[in-house]
Amino acid sequence: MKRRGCKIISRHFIAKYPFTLEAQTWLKERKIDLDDLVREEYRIVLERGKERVLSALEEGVVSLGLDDPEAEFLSFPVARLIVEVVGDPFLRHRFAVAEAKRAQGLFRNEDDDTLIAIATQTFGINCKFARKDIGGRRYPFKIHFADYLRYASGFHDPYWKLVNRVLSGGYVFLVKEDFTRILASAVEKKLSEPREPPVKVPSEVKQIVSEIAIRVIDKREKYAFEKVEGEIVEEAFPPCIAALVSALRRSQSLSHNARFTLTSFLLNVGYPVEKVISLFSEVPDFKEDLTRYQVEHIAGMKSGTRYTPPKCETMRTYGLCLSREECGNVKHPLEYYRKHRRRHMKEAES
Amino acid sequence: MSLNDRQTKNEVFLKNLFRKYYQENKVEPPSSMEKREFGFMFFGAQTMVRHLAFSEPESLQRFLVSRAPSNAFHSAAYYAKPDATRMDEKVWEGCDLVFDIDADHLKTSCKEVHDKWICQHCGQSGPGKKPEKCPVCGEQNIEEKTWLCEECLETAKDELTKLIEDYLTADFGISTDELKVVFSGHRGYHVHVTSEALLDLDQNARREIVDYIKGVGLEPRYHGLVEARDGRSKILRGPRANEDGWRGRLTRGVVKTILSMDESSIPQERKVKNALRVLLKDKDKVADSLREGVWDTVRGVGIDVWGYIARLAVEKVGGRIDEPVTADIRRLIRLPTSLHGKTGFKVCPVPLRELSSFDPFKHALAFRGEATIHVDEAPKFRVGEEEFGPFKDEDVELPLSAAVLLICKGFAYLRG
Repeated sequence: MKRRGCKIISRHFIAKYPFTLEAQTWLKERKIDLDDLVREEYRIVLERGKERVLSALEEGVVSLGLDDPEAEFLSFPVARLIVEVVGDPFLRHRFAVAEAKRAQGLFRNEDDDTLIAIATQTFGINCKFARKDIGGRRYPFKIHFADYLRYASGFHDPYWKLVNRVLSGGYVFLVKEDFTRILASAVEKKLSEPREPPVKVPSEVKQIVSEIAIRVIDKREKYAFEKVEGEIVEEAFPPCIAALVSALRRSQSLSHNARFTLTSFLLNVGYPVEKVISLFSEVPDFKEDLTRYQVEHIAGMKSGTRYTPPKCETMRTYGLCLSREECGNVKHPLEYYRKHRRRHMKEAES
Repeated sequence: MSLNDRQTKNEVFLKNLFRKYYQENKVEPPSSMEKREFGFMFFGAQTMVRHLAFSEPESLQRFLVSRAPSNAFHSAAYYAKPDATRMDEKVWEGCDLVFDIDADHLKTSCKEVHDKWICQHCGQSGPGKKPEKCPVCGEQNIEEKTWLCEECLETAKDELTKLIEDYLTADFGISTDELKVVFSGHRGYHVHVTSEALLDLDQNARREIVDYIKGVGLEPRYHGLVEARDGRSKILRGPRANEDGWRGRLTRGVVKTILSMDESSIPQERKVKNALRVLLKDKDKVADSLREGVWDTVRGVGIDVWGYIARLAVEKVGGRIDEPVTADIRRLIRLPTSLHGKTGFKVCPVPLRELSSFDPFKHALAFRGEATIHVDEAPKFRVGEEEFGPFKDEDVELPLSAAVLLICKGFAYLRG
């Protein structure tokens, strides 16, 4: 146990939050290295490490194992090691998301002081106590807008848009639930950064790695299968998407949301990346390197997350929905496409 | 004299004057100049020369004197290798947060008076902003002749003050010594924010800042304008005028919108027409209670109608900035203290405390002396304390800055 400031860093704390600065310091001071972890007495640590990665991959979550704080804590660096040695962006992303979810569950029940301490010390987030009532609601926290944007500008729900938050004096006011979401996003970001795997990996770990690598391939194929396969039928595009395509062909620039929607839609119906880029080359402010970067990002070539276009409800808030009669009860542009494509193919056959 | 000769003569004249300016005036290079990309345009050439770098003020100054460019720019971004020709080789290290307010994007009535467009294909012309394509022949090759007047520049300055006071300092908490205001040399102003904490923001983050300032994507319900249930009845709740951020601004905007409306300006949309008519009967009273956060004083005016007014309000009080300038993290911006090739005015830094008295037609002038020119056509304008014009097809002797302005604008040529 160690005193840092006034706060006692307990085993329980680092078992809950093994990604914190405190946990890393503790690990360094204990001088535990890889070779130790494969010794018989640490078997349980290795097992738990494998379990963390596997359940992240398969279920998208990591359970809590706080009964054995030491194993819970030590299994975290082991899990990260496994992920690094597998070296697959898809796995790294799933692991980061699942660990972030695990952490957010704990943050929700944490006291405010501890949350602020983790935010500032581990993530360098500029945040403070706000203790302010706005519109009859308590806002315990505030966070500098630059840090807010760093962690929340990727959230798609309009609720998270900066313009829909209370911003004053440089700080965004947050209720506790939102603050924990930002913190979870910081955890995810930290774990998403690729690290150099060590040169020497113990054979016990190697075995786990090859086992998991196979499962990654399976899982990935399953995901890829959700795409709409087969010939692309432009006639089956929903009206919102068709309008964006024709705007592009008339060399009109599209808003950020419109570009995202169109790109993710086209990729999901099977357009190759190059074809999407060439479609955008019609626009006057076309920049190839930037477009390529964005399209490849949406295609999931960078992070392993392939994006799907926004659902109809979100399209409405973006002002991109044309709400045509032919859409019926469809809730998602891809759903429209699947339906109409089937109909189209049938007609073509008969 | 043929048109070509005229143009060449003008260009030589301007180039020599610009060179003289750079010989006599030291430009103020941007912070960390060695990490900036520079770009220039030259008299007689259409394209921009980019990807240049200067490691110290003297080499930049020598370049300006020897080449006498018509326009000078630097990147808002910092790069490890600013002179690399490919963007991915430059290695982006950060970018100032830059805002652009330009009368081009503002609604002013003067533009219909002093701007015009001419189709380069069929010769058709018309007032105001150029259309996408020529209404007569359908060609897209249209030239614009724009002018800048007191109204353009005052409107731009009002927008600038709103941007700085309402948004950058009040909401974003940026201190006034972290921001630098620059008159663009033409019809607007730039604001450079160099705060360390903001340099690494990516395009998405910057676009969020733009959306915040313009009010894009704002949903009133997230600012407390909601219909809640109280037992069996519905009650309306909304923010007060003195609340922080967009909450208070939304209320103030709605108040402003209502007060500026009358019978004749009621929108014809069926859903809101009748409700608005009722509401406007007592608008001062309604405004008073809105300020206190009481939104349900008028029967029959429900959440739909308020939502409609809120949209108009956001339009009214939102900032009017040019999105790409802020969101694009690789863009070039005019080099402060250089000259603007469309006016011959100085791209002039303006200390905040002098902003209210800043007069571009006086403080951004770069030349002394007189010149005699032939003016094809020019509206009435002021330079310094003196008014000139309107002119039509005549020779006139003017202060050099005024003569340069007309030549740069393509309204005149050098006599003799």
